[in-house]
Amino acid sequence: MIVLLIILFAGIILLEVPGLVKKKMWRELAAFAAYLAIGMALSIPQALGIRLPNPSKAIEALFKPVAELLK
Amino acid sequence: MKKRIAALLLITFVIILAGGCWSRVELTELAIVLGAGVDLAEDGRILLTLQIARPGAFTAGSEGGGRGKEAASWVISAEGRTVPEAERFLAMKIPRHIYWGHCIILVLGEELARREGTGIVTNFYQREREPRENIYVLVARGRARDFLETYSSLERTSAQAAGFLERMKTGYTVQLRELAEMLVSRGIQPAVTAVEVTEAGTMPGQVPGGPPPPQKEVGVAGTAVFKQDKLIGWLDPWETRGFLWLKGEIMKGVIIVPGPEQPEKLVSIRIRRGKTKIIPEYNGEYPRFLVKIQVEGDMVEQQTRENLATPEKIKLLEEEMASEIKARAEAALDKVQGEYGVDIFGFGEAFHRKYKKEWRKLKYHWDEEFSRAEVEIAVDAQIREIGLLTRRAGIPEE
Amino acid sequence: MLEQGKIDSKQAILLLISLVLPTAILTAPAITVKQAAQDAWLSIIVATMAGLLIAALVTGLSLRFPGKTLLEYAEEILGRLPGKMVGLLYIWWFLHGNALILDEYASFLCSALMPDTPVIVFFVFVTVVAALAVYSGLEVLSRFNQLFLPLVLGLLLVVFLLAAKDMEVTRLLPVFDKDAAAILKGAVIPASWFGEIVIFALLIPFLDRAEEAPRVAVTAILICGLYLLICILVVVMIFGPHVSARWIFPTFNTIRVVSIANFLERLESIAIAVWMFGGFAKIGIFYYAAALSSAQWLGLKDYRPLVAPVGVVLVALAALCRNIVELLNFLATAWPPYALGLFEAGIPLLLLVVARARGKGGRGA
Repeated sequence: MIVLLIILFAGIILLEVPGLVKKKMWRELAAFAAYLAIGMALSIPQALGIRLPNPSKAIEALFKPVAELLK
Repeated sequence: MKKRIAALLLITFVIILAGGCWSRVELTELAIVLGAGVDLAEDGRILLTLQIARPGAFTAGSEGGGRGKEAASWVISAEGRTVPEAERFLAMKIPRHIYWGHCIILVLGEELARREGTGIVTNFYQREREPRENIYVLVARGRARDFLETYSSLERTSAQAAGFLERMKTGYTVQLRELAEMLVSRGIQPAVTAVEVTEAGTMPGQVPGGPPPPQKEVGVAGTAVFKQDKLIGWLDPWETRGFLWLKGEIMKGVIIVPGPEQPEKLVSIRIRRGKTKIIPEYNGEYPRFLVKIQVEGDMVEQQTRENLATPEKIKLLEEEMASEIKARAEAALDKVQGEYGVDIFGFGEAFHRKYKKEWRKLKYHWDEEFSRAEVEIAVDAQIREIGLLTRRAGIPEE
Repeated sequence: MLEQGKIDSKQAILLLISLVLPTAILTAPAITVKQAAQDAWLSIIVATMAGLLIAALVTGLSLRFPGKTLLEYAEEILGRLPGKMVGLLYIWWFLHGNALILDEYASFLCSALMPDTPVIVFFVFVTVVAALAVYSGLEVLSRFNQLFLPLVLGLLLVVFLLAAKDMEVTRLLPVFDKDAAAILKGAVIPASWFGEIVIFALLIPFLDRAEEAPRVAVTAILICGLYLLICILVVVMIFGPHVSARWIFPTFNTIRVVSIANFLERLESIAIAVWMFGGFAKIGIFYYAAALSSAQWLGLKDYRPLVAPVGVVLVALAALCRNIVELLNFLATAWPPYALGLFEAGIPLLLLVVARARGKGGRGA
């Protein structure tokens, strides 16, 4: 699982980064890296079997007073 | 641009089609369940019986063959605390994937329906993705297993025979989804086809020299009446006809009435079509119902000698026909309302449609309200055709 | 300009239908019927009207700022920092909303069709295809959609017609059995689906005739409303309100019921094809919205480098959902205030009010 994930990330980097470097799109490269970092942060722990909190839960808690009306 | 769309199309197709390969099971790896039966075992556990098709026997070679050829089905049972558990025990004996997608009937044993109710059985069939919403639900008088073990002379298996009987609407036909609807609604109590194993007909020439032995066949035996999800009683086939008139369900069959001038001789009228309308009324204390039945029929036979092809005689016949239907409907009503005290007719639903505010209070004790309700049945019968003959032949001219 | 492609009005209508309908038909009927019972169809009518209001709001707002997307004019209206905040919220919503759609899509396929396939496979497959579509640009996505959606809509209608044999109008009676509150509650869920049309605010600058945007949005909502109305009527007329409310995917069960003359039956492969394509298109549009708005938010010259990493985030977010009960509970309770209250009506309304007060934007001030 984790190996597949690393291969996937490597693939994505190989696909996108050389083009961006060649065209000197540094801003795009930074955004790409940031997004990929978020993606890694969310996916690698899951692949290792670590349970991450689901943001839906937080949203549910946030809207609980209103949501009660819909029960 | 075009290339890109084409590429996208191709990839989508491949992915969608290849996705299906994951759970792929070839036909030869399937054990196709035709009918399932659930009984209560002695220790209170569930006895699940499956009738499984033997595809080899379904091929053209066995077409038209009677007994002695390869059997078309295999019946096997196992016990478990729940239906899925019993199914898993069965999976140890069945060398193929148990496939529910073609299951035609679900038979509940009498004991199970009476003591445990339908709830412990039907949930699995609704929740699982393979069994379909339109499985016919039947209650066996006796054990469901015996029913599934019966052979059919005309169809290949007893499950198919029962399925065809249901499709032809020979009794009060109920599909799983309809049973579910009756179970959740407060305005109607469930009623389900009752079936039994009977001796029906013979197959001549089977035993050389001797008289042909009677065949054990599956047959419709009226209606099973439920209170919530438990079986509380039966309607016999005759009462079932009356029940069907009140439901406005099927309008088939023949009505026999006495001849206008010779009451000891009979006239047969075949029902063409009919319509039933339930009109509820409420005075604030107890509900009343007027059931209007409209029916059309064709005269198919007369035993009497009189000339029935006159407007006056037809009118008399129509009256006789109406009172016959009324008598049938009343017999069913008396038994259900008086003896069982449950509303299997859906009077409550009709009441709900008209008096939605009052229903909110009455619905919680509807069965009691229904037992007290006054029901009036009015039948309007009409004879349309009299076949190819006017006066009866075989009587010399006067 | 981030997007070079242009789409015409017809493509836009079809795209918006794909944006709303696929998951709406799948899960909304059960939730709506749960609230409003046999009056659910009234809820749909109310929801369609709400959808039309949102469509008018969003297109009206966008037309004040020709050539600009929601994220760009939010900055112009609210100022740089608050505008950026709103933009970030929307990006989050596109991602999270899409993760929920992925969950719905995968749950459906998994429980209805392929129980042995791990959900992650569905996530990855559909995301990869959607990524390719998004990478190719809006025009490819719209044309792809234009090819399939009419077929899908037609098939769905035929299947509903075939189910007519098992329908009973009495199951819809009595009308107004539930009070207005229940009907409104029932309307909230489908309204939050119709409100997804707010994504149109990202696409209006790429219309070849932007002035037709209101007509496009209204037509799309009306078609979606009509389909959802038919769908609810069919479901309730077949199963009755109580059973309909208890299914998870009642439309799917409806299609399975179709059985004509013992041979025209088992049509669920049609249903599954409908949702395979529909779900894919819907996911693609949300995906596009997430990638495009991220690029705009960061001031990039091209959104394409973001496509692959956004996909990873999507799949990872979708995988966080533990089971279908969590998902259904979220959709039935938290989703309406979250989506409808905040992103679909709340923020656009706020933007319009502030734009008027500050006299920002061109027409209709």
